[in-house]
Amino acid sequence: MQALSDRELMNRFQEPSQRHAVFLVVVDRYQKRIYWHVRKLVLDHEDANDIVQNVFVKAWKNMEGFRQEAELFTWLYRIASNESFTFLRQKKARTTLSIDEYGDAFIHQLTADPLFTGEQIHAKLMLAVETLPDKQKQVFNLKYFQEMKYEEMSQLLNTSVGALKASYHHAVKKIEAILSDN
Amino acid sequence: MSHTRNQNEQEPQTPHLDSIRKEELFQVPMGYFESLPDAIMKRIAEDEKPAARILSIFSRRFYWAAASVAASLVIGWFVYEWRSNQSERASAEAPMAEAIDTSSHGASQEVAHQEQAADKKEIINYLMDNGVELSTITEEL
Repeated sequence: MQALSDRELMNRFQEPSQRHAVFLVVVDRYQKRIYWHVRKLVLDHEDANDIVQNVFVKAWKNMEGFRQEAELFTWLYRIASNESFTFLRQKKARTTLSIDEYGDAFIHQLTADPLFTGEQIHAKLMLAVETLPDKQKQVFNLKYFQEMKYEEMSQLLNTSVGALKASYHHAVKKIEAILSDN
Repeated sequence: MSHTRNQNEQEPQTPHLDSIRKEELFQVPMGYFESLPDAIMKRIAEDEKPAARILSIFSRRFYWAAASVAASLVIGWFVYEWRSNQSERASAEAPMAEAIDTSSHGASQEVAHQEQAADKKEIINYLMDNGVELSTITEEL
């Protein structure tokens, strides 16, 4: 079953006896890409783990009605993005710290995390990324960290290449300004 | 010239960003991706379990049930009290009723005597009016 295309897997998923086996192949195929996308957004492993599990639980519940108008990964990626941004908004709403306090706490928490292997400057970069609007954050992560081509990103985010370039341009200018302030 | 300017507009100068060494910044716990599919399937199995029916003590249905029970207890208590009062009153009133019965029995006897006396008088008057001798009447009565 591992060799089947996404479309073939989705067709097999319609047979109730095959569902679990098909779904395990889907999880195995995309768990890493989904995890790293989520982790780059929420940064903490435990948070990312919870979100990734939620993403696949939602996918399981809705896969029967998945019409394959988008690619399977694109569909999973959008669920993951929505879950991550919802999580981040809720987390931000709970924060009572001022902007300065938040920045210090953010860098301290990230550099103290044993699963973060970067240096102080990387933590500052992640803090700068944290200040971006949702769309710019996604575009920056895909372009800067994953070095994804704009054409591929365009399909994934359902946005024109021109708009993506503009988003990246704005994101980079903001990040550069934040890094130069420090 | 124009082409160079367009490129400059597309790619902003980013000396600080460029100075940052690109590397993998995050790790995952050992064996994480090997165990993730099992964790996901476990979550799905838990989600698909039929949820236990929890009856909240704050639900409207609970309030109605509690109110019914309370009302039944109050009504039951009133009925019990009323019945025990009734039986106490009945036992307290029984001798008085007997006394009343006795006195009324005496009175009725007296009335009967009076009625009998009145009847005799009328009979005597009637017989005397019809020429029967008083001595004869007295002997007969």
